[in-house]
Amino acid sequence: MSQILIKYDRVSKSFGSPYRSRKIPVFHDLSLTIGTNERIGILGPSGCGKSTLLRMLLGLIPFEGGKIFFRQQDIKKMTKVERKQFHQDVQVVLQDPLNAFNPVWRMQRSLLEPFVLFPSLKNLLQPENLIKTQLNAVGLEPALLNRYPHQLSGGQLQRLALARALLVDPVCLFLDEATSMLDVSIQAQIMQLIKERQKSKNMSVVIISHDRELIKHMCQRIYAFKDEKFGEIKPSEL
Amino acid sequence: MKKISTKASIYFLIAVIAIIIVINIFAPLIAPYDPTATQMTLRNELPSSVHWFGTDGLGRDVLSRVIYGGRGSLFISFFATCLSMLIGIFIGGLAGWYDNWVDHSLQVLMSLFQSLPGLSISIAVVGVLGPSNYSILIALTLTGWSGVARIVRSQVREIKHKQYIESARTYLPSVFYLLFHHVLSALWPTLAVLTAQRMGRMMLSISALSFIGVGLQPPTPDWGVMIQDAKTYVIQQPWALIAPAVMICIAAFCLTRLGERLRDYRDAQMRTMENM
Amino acid sequence: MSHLLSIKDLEVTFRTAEGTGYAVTDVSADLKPHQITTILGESGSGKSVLGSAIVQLLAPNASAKGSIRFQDRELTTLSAKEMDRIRGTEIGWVAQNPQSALNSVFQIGTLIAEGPIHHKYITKNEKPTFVRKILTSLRLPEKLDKQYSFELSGGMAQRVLIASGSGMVPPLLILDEPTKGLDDNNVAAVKRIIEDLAARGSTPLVITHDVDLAEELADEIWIFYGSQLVEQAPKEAFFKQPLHPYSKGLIDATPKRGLVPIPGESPAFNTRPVRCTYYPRCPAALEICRNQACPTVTLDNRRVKCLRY
Repeated sequence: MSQILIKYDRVSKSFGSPYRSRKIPVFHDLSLTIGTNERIGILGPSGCGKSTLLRMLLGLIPFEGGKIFFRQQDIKKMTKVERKQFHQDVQVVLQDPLNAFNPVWRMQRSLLEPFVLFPSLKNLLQPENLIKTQLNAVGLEPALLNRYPHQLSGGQLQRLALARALLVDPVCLFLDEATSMLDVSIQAQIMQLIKERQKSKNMSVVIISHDRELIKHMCQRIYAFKDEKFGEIKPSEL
Repeated sequence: MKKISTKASIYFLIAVIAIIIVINIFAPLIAPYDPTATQMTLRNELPSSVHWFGTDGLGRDVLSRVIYGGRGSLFISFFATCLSMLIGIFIGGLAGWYDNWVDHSLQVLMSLFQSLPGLSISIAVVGVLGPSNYSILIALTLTGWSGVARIVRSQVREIKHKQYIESARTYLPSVFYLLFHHVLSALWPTLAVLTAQRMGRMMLSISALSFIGVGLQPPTPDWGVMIQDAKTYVIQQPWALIAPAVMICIAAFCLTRLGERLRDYRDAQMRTMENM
Repeated sequence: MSHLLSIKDLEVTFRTAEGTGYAVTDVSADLKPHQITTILGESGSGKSVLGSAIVQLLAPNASAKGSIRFQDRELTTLSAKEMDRIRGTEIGWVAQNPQSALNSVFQIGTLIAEGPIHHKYITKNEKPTFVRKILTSLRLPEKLDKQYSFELSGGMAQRVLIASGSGMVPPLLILDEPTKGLDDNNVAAVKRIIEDLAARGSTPLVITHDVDLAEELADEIWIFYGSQLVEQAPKEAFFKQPLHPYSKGLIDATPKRGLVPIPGESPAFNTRPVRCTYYPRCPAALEICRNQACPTVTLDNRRVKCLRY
């Protein structure tokens, strides 16, 4: 039995705008658990708030009601050190590969960024070797590190984004529509890589997507937004 | 006729500007005469082999004065541009980054300074502080930074929603890390364009101030001052007026044009990136 | 049987700073009228370039060789003015990316009627009735004609774009990625519109990367890979038994059919490809594939570009 890693407890979120008094609710009393070492799917049409779930967890946008726990700890009440560790443990690959990296940096600098910003990795010797190993694992040549993002293809960039996320040994990896802009053959490459890593490293993977076939094929447990409701569904219900 | 490529014209403009700067820096070595030495016997001489551009109303060599004449305006406009860029980037960056009261109050500040009529405020500032290089610098910075801040703010607002900034934010860096490393790096092409354009405009303002007598003061050899001095004798000796006027035009034109060409070049680069 | 569109030995190259890029090479195909044909391929395969080559809207740094015949007229030699007349009246073109393809300062009604008025298909007075007819035929609300493109969702904008491209029910309608970025409901709506247009006498040529869309929509499927047209087949036969190794790999990579990756990367060409472009990745490659040019073979009602047949 896996342990609970991340837990959303009756979370509510609505969007307002300074020019409108009425707030538009995105979801209300939403609950969700993510266990260790499992592949979870979050399914929903575009614009339903799937990505909002992830952005709330990462502190990119605020939320009003409810709590989110990471390893039984309220993410709003973390100390600075705990927060850094939490952000290192939870990594993301986002939708748009062409905007995933700073366009005026070489890939080398973008991939070194976690080592600059996470205190526990700062004193690591030779992060370059780690990066090279990681690139091999996702099937890319180390020579790509000297290129700029616009010199690479969408598939290469998304694999680099995956490599960057895996560099810091996360316990949970979120993929937010990470392959929806890619071709099917490249999607298959990336998904196969993720499945292998999930099994060998015992990490959790959360796949956020609108593609029911993809989620059905990849995930053990599935949550879905359907008719303004959110809840767990059985894979057979798809 | 073959179209001149953007890159070639950028190099050409940079070369012209560099030549003007070099001439001004090494003016003491190049100028044939002392630019302030008067020769009352040789007033309003027309161009000759001795005085290539003739002499002015006080018998000073016009060529020497033209060679020295950019020193003040180039120097002051350079520093005023740098200073207003720095202030503009700092304030515009913060205003663009935050969505809350920081943005609102800084926007009020920008609007306030942008609503000031530039030249009259400069005259007022110089009038209060007394005419000196510093007061021109302060006057130009005061009226110059808000335009920069506004452009930087709108750019930052666009950039901050880019996905790579969001990715970087998941590493919990400080606001200044994000602004300095990510936002500024995306901004620098815009900043290069702005710097060149602003400097051209500042040069013109300084000449205008000097012309109406509140900028650089005579007997300093300055293009604006020279035009003011020469206008009394324009019929007898037009060269004393034409020479500095042409220099102002060349310098300001090259700087402004350089800004435009840099912008074209950047836009073309962006387009090829998007088409990939 | 006469063909609506007949492409022969088409080659499209791009001049870039790094040299010449080959986007479409050695493409010959005939388009059958009154059925939906789907060009299926991954990004960079050259499928969109083929679309813009047919309507003669290639980028300025591109040049095309070969022949494109449309109803017995050679499109490649037509003057810009003649092509302008054909484009819109006889060949409809629906570009990618609806939000930027629709001018946001004009009302939707004006955008839809612009082409037909320009080509004197309708008069200005007929505009309101014409726009209403188009909107209802595309199952869009009538009040849309007074709105602006930025007020529309992505799905709505895409449907309006199709409306503006298909107003005169052109005999040939080319749609470039009409479902890109749309959710299930909007994809279904766009699909219905395309089927409607086919039923009303148009021949849609749909360019897409979406295997599932092709499977649901198409009568005939063309597979593009690495600048070449590798297979042409009726849909049922294609999905039952794809002939080209790439076709098989592409189908098997979809989540529905197992998410099996194709190893390697899509190629890019700066020299004219001489052998099969799929050879470096092909699991079924033969020794002769390495250095032999690859002809297109006709088998019953399908064509395949592979040395195994």
